[in-house]
Amino acid sequence: MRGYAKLFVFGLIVAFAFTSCAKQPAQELNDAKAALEAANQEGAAVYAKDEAAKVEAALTAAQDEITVQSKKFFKKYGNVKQMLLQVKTDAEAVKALVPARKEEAKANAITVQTEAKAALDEATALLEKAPKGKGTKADIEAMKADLKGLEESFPAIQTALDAQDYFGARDKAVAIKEKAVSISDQVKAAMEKVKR
Amino acid sequence: MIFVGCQTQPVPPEAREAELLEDDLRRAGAPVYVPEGTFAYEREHRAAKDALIREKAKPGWFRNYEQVRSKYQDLLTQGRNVLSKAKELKEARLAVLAGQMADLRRRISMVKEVSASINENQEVRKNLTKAEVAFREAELHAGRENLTEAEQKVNTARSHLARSEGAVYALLERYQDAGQVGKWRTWVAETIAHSKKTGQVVLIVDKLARKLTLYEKGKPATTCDIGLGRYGLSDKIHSGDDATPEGKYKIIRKIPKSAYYKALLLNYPNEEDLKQFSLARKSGQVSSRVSVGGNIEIHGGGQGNITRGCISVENGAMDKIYPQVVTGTWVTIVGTADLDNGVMKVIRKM
Repeated sequence: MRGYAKLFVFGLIVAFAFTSCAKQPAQELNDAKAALEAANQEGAAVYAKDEAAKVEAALTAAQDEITVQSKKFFKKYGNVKQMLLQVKTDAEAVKALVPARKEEAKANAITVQTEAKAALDEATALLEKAPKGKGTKADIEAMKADLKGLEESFPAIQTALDAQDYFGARDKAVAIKEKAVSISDQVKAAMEKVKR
Repeated sequence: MIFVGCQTQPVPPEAREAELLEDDLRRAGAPVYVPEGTFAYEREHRAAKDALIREKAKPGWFRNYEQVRSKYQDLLTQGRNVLSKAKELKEARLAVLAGQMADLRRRISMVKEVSASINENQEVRKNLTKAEVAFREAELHAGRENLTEAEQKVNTARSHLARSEGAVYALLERYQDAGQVGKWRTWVAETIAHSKKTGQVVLIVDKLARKLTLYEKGKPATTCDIGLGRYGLSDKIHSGDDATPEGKYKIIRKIPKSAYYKALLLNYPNEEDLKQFSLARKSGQVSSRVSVGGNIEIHGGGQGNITRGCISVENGAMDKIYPQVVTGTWVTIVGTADLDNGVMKVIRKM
């Protein structure tokens, strides 16, 4: 009788051990998913695209492994837990990358915005002091109209910055800056024409 | 022997290849270009994974990946076809975009060329510049293969360019009217005939071509570039409209020393101008406080000038014209007599 009791207790211990080991890592899975979601919400899909894709692939692999283990008689989730913990850590690392990259993109856009403004100001100043009435007035007037087009386009850079579209803001600033520089060059050429 | 026989079979390498291929499909934009094919691939990939999982779930010595491998091989063939199709469609989209951008570049360049002949080009140039900015943005996006964004910018550039072209058409509407051009041509023909018949020198001003031609005995002798009023392509109606008048005029005074080198004063307003002014005033088009204006001259100072309605030429050109004309010399000013001039050709192409 005592032997049966011992066997029963042993059986319980074994069953407990298997059950506890066989439990699916639901919490770890949720944590990993949440970490990846948080990274994506931060803007990882834009600012850390490749890194986020890698983490997502690792999460899919972990989920596949959970399915594999769930179909086995002797389930072992130890490895999957490690995978999910790694996914969580990597997702957090990706999320941490985003603010710096966002800041970099923003700073870059603001730098070009400032350069574009300086180029616009230079072109405006040159047009103001350009000699008129000696064969250049029509050219100067045309360039003033060009400049007006640039001035009206300029606020869209800030709109893009406010919408956190830093790449879009940078592109617009680059385009405006290049055009403003070309106007300045034309004004200088017109001034040279007058000197000659 | 037993050890070898009990060894677990390795997972077929095709499983990893299928994963990589799925990444390649995403990177190539297959979900955009071949959505159904990509979806089918993903679905089949899922099924292959499930089969692999089922096999992996078996105890090692019961596993047999042959069927799974075959499934994956079919999947890879399917995926490669989708990838190839996606690349093909992306190339085609890039080619369409390149065509649209080339067309836009050509149109921008044409409007720019026309605008150089027009003083009243503020709206034209302003919108043209906006089109150029959007076009450059499209180029930057296209360089990074952000095709959707590039296409959006091309559309933005098109809409600015359409406004610019619209402003050109509005300005030159009269110049495309066969009746109006016919009238100008008649004036020119009459003036040249007068020169031929009398042997006198006459001047013909073509506003659109921005040319002044001196005819001697009915033949062109000297041609020079001219500057016009701020709204020089319009016909002058009243003072302060900064338009250059159109009509048959005469030189009424030669001014050897003027504010603009030398000048030839014309008899604006002539009878036709006065009639036109009176009609404009009656219809309320012109305020009762405004006069018909005057002091329209051909003067020096440079052809790049924007005048209040006068015709300006380079001082060197004035030196050639001035001694050849007299008080009473006919001066005919027309919008254009040449429907095949550069500007009209460009307009027709626009």
